[in-house]
Amino acid sequence: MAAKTTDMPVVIKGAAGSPGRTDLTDQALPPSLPTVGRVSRRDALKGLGTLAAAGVAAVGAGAVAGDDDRPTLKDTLADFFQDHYQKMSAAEVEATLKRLERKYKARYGVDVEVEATPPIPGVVFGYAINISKCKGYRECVRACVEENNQSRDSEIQYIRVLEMDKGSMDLEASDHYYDPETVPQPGKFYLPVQCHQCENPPCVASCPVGATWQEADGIVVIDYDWCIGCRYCMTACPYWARHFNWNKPTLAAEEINPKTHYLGNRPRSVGVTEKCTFCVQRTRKGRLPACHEACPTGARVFGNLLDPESEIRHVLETKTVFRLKEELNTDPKFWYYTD
Amino acid sequence: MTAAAKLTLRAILPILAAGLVGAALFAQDSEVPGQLDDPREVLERYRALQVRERGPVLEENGYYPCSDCHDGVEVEINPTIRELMVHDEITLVHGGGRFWCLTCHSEEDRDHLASLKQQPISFDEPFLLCGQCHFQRQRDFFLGTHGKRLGSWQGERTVAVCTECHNSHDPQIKPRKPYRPPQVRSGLQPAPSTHHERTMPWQIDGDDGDEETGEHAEEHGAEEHGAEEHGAEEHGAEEHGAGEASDGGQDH
Repeated sequence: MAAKTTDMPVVIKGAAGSPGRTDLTDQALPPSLPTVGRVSRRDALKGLGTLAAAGVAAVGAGAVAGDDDRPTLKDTLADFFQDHYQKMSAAEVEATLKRLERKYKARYGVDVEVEATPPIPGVVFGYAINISKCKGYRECVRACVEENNQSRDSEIQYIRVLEMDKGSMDLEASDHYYDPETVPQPGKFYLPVQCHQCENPPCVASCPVGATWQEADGIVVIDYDWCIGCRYCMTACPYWARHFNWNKPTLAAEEINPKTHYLGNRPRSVGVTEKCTFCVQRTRKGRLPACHEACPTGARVFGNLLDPESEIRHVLETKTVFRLKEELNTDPKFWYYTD
Repeated sequence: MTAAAKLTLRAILPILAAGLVGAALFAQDSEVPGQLDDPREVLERYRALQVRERGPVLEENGYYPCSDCHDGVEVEINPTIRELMVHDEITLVHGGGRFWCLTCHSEEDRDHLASLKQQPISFDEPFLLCGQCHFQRQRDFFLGTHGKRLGSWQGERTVAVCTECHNSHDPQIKPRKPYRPPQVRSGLQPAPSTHHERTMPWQIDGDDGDEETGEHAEEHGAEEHGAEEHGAEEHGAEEHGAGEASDGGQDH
């Protein structure tokens, strides 16, 4: 009942590097697949797999775009087979960035630059807001949207400025739709809330596919191409910092910021979650985040928590600081202080 | 001399000593720790900051360089405190009437400001002048917790000087219209403004406390299910603007 096996010498390969066993005869082996010509079906299937892998590799590596800027079949396949950012090799990341640049050029007609600047060693970012100085102008909200290529139709805004009653820290009783003639309104103070890049992030813990993680410089990032859109992270975040693209994002060509980062402000697709990344495309190059630059009152303080001479360290060491929802043990890297 | 008032050296020595110490304390160049003879000395304590030059902005406003007119010839130097016939578009609010122009502007060299001891201070470094009185703010300014930082969070720091945000003649920042509010998500209504409810004792004005809480509690109950929207204008009308002083955030 043993099937007719090939009369070629059978070598059972061991683990990588080991020569395997050559002492076993045909009879000792379990029945193998019948042969097709001189090649066993097992070998034939393996060959097919190798061919497919080679094909995908060829497709993914350095394909040139078509003449009319439409994504090529190669690019589409590579898009489909794209691996998780943290698992890609440096070469794969390079190829992916180039492919994304072609994609965005095709989609928007704008020469978008996608980078993957790594974290600066010895840097962990921290942010603080002086609530004596914040007047609720919302200039930070506007600048953030101009910098980070959010969808304009569904009006995704990473920063939410809460108008709070003085004397209470009840965030649930705040109003972020305020629109008085002038701000600040008497009896109110203003709390801008954005992603706090928690050290113990509940969103990272809740992601079922590992599409979001914390980088070495403390920023919690999302691989938009890995996100499946389940929105568990949105439920997990206590600061309402995560936003979802319910629709295909609308972004006019003239409003696009062409300097983007893979983990930051590159244009997103429908069905993925996004959030503030402390402007990773700016801060990893030494620039200040867009919200910081836009604030007219200078209420924002940003810097490296590991540098004892930094402004953010001075705030933490000398000012009365507090964090939101401290009791949830998220350990946010965003503080609020008063003069 | 009477017997009761013998002015011996021994008797007046303590008085002399006190007088000398007093004179020493109030001398121009004092040994009081922390007091600076020259405002520039404060720069030694902190990291060097890059600033943006004020010259171009001041030229745009039409006055700078001031020595074009104030060269001592065309316009005489007149230190008498008076109301000026020119520069009348400037209303000096700063100081509540205690200041006049030459408090801060140099009498001799109008292209510079002057410290309290008449040392010249450049328009590019007004923090040296302002910091003479606003020393806490100045310290915060140098350490990054006051004022607008520009440029980079590492390496050389660039900062906007005081006069880029504050009008030195009327420094208090005025309220302004905010950028428009976010749109309500499709399918949602904004939550009823429960923030009108004031639950802290100090938020309830005078004897009308109960009335207010009662009124709000009623509204809160009715709007629980989103029947009505509280607009911002309604909220504004409920503010007791007359009695309330400006909040602490309004300081300059």
